[in-house]
Amino acid sequence: MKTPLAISNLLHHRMRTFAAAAGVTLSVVLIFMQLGFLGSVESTASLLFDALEFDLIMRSSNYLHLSAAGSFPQERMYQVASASTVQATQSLTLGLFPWHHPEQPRKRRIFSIGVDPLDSPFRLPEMQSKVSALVQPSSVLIDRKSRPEFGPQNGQRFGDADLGTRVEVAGKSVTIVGHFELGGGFASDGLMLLSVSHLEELAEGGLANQRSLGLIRLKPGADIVESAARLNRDLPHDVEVLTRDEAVQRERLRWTQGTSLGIIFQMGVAISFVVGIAIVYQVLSSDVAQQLREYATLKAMGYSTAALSRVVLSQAIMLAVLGFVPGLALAAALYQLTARVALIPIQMNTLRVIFVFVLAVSICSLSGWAAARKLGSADPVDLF
Amino acid sequence: MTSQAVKIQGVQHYFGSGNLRKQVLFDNQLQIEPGEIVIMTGPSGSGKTTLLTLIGTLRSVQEGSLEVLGQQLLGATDDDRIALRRRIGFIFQAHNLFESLTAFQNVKMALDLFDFSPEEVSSRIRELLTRLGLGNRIDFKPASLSGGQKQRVAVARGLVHRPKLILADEPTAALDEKSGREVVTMFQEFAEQEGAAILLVTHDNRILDVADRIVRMVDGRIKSNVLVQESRIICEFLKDVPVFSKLTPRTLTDMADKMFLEAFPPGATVIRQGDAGDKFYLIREGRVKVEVERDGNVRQVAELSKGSFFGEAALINHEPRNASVVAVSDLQVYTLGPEDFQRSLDASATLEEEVRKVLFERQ
Ligand SMILES: Nc1ncnc2c1ncn2[C@@H]1O[C@H](COP(=O)(O)OP(=O)(O)O)[C@@H](O)[C@H]1O
Ligand SMILES: [Mg+2]
Repeated sequence: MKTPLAISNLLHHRMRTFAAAAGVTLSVVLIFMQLGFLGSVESTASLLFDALEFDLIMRSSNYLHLSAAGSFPQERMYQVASASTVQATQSLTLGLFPWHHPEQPRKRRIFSIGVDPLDSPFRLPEMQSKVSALVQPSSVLIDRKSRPEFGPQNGQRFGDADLGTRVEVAGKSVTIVGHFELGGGFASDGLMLLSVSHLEELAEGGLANQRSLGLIRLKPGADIVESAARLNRDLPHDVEVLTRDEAVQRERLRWTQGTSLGIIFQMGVAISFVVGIAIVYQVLSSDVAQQLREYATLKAMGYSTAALSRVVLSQAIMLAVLGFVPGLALAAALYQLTARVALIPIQMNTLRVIFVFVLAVSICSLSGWAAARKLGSADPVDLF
Repeated sequence: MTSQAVKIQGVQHYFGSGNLRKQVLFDNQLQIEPGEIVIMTGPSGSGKTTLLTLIGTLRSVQEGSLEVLGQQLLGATDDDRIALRRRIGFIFQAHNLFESLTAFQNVKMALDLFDFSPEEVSSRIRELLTRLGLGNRIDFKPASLSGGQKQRVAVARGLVHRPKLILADEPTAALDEKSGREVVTMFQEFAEQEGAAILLVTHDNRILDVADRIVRMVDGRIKSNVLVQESRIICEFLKDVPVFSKLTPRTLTDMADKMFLEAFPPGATVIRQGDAGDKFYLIREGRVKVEVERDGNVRQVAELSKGSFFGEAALINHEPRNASVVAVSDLQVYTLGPEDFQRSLDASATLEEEVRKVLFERQ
C-alpha cells in the first residue's frame, strides 16, 4: 500500500481540516436550503393540479397562474363536452377574497376555489367526501395548511374546534363546515373551498357564468395529445387546452422563471458554491504552501507534479465527504423545521442529495485543483 | 553508454539574461566512477551547488555534455529527468520531512515510486533506520525527533531505494560529530557494497578522510581534482625533494591537494620562451632540457630531472617565460596554478626562501 499522505495531512493538521470541512458543510447546507425552497416552489405550483382528476385542462388564454387565472364563458364547457373523445367535464372558478376572522385584527386575502358540491373534481378521498357538505348555504371548507393568521382556534392549525365558526368573507358572513389539507404554497397563504354559486355570490356577479378551469376526462383509449390538439383547433381563441403534463410544467416554469423566485434561489446556490470554493481553497492552498519544501523534495525524488496534484486533489475529495455528511444531516433537520414553521412542503429527495454531493465534490475539486497549481512553484532547486 | 556514474565535459552555466546574464560555471570537466566518493569544496558562491543541481537534473544543462548514469542530460526531456531522479539519492541540508508522516512513512515515500513487496519495503526501512540509530524511533513523527534524528531520517530516505548516485549538500552540517561520522560511514558502505557514486559538497573537515577524491571549485572553475591517494603520493614525493623537505606536513598536504598531474611525450614543449607564466612545475618522472634563445641562437642552459622544479621565475617576477622547457624523455610533472603557488609561498617562509635561493642561483 502506498503511503496515505493525503489522509495523514488531514489527520495531522486537524484545525485546518476542521475549518475546511466546516466550509463545505456551510455551503452544502446553504445549497440544500436554496434547492429545497426552489423545490417547494415547484411542488406547490402543481399541488392543486395533483389534487384534481382530469386528462386535459382548459383555461383562459389570459391565464397567468393559479391566483391570476382569468376566466372564460361557461359556454365553452358545453362546446368541449360535445367533442367526440370527451367523456365528462367539470369546471372550477377561482377567486381571491378578503377574509376577516372576528378574532383577528387584520384582514387577509384567501384563495378560493368554487366547485360543484354534487360532482367533486378531487382525487383525494378526504376532499371528495367533504365537498358535498358545501350544499349548505354560506358554507366553506378551510385548508388546514392555511397560515395561523387566518385565525384557527388553537392559534396554529384549523381543525374540529373551528367547525361552526363564522367568518366575514368579502363582507358577507360564511360558516366553516369542515377542513381539508392541500396547501396553497407561495401563491397564497390561505385556501378555502366553496360552491360555485356561493363564490359567484361573494364576487357579486363579477364572475357570473364565468369559469376559471375546465377539467376534461377523455373516453378510454382516446389519444390525449391528439384530443388536446383538436380541441385547441376547434375552440375559439379565448381558451386553450393543455395536457396534465403541460399544465404542471407551465405552472412550474411560471413560478421558477416567470417570477424572480427561481433566479433568487439559483443565485443563492451559485453564491454558496463560490463561498465554498473560497473557503476550501484558502485552507488547501495554505496547506500546500506550508509543505512546499516537502513537496519539492518529493519532486527531486522523482515524483511528477501530476502525482503530487493527485495528493492534493484526494485531500480535497476527502474534505468534500467530511463536510457533506454533516451538511446533509443538518439540512434534513432544517427542512423539517422549515416545513413545520413556514408550512411549505420542503423535503429531501435522492436526486437532490446526489446533485448536492456532486456540487460538494466540485467545490472541493476546483479548490483542490487551484491549490495544486501552487505545486508548480515547488522547485527542488530551491532546496540546496 | 559510459561506465562512469557522472561524466561532465565542457559544462558552462549562466544565470539571468540580457545585460544581467552572468556566467557561473566555466568549462568544467569531471568524472566520477561508480563506488567513488568525491568531496567538493570551495568558497561560497563558487558554483558548487549549481553544478550539483545540474548533475541532479534539477536544472537544465545549457552548454556542454553532462552524462549521469548513462543518461545524457543536454536536451533531455522532462520524463527522462524524472526517471533519472528515481535512480539518484538526494540528501539536503534541511531534512524536509512531512510533519504528518512517521519516520517510517517519510522514508517509505521514496519506495512508493517502485514496486517492491510490502515485506521488502518494511524490512529495508527498518533495517536502515536501525543502522542509523533510529531503531526505537521508527513510528515517531518529526515533531518528537531531535534535529539530528530528523536529518538521519532524511538520509535514510535518500538511500533506501539504493541509488547508484548520491548527491548531498552539507549533509552533516546539522549533525553532531558522532552522528555525522555514522552517516559518512554509511556512505562509505554504500559506495563499497552498492557501487554507488557519491558527490558530497561540504566544508566539514572532519569527514574529508572518507573522500577518494577531492575537487576544489573556485569562481566557477574546478581548480584542482586530486585523488586522495594520489595526493598522498605527491606528499611523499615532495618530502624527498630538498626544497620542500623542511615544510610542515600541513603545508605539504595543502600543496599536494592543489597539484595536477600532467604528462608529456619526448620532444613536447612544456614551456615556450616569451609566453606568459601560468604554472609552477615539479618533475615526478623523466627529464627536460632548458633552452634560451637569444638573437636567433638557441642555447641549452640546463637539464633537469626527477625532483627538480621549473617555471617559478615567471610567477615570482611576473615576467614572461625567460626560457623554453622541452621534454627529453617521457615526462610526468606536477603542476600548481599561480595563486596556489603564491599561497604556498606565503604560507611558508622556508619554502619562499628555498625557492628564491634556487631562482637566484639560476640567474
Ligand atoms: N538562481 C540564481 N540566479 C542567479 N544567480 C545565481 C542563482 N543561484 C546561484 N547564483 C549565483 O551563482 C553563483 C554560484 O552559486 P552557487 O552554485 O550557489 O555557489 P556555492 O554553492 O558554491 O556557494 C553565485 O555567484 C550565485 O550568486
Ligand atoms: Mg551552496
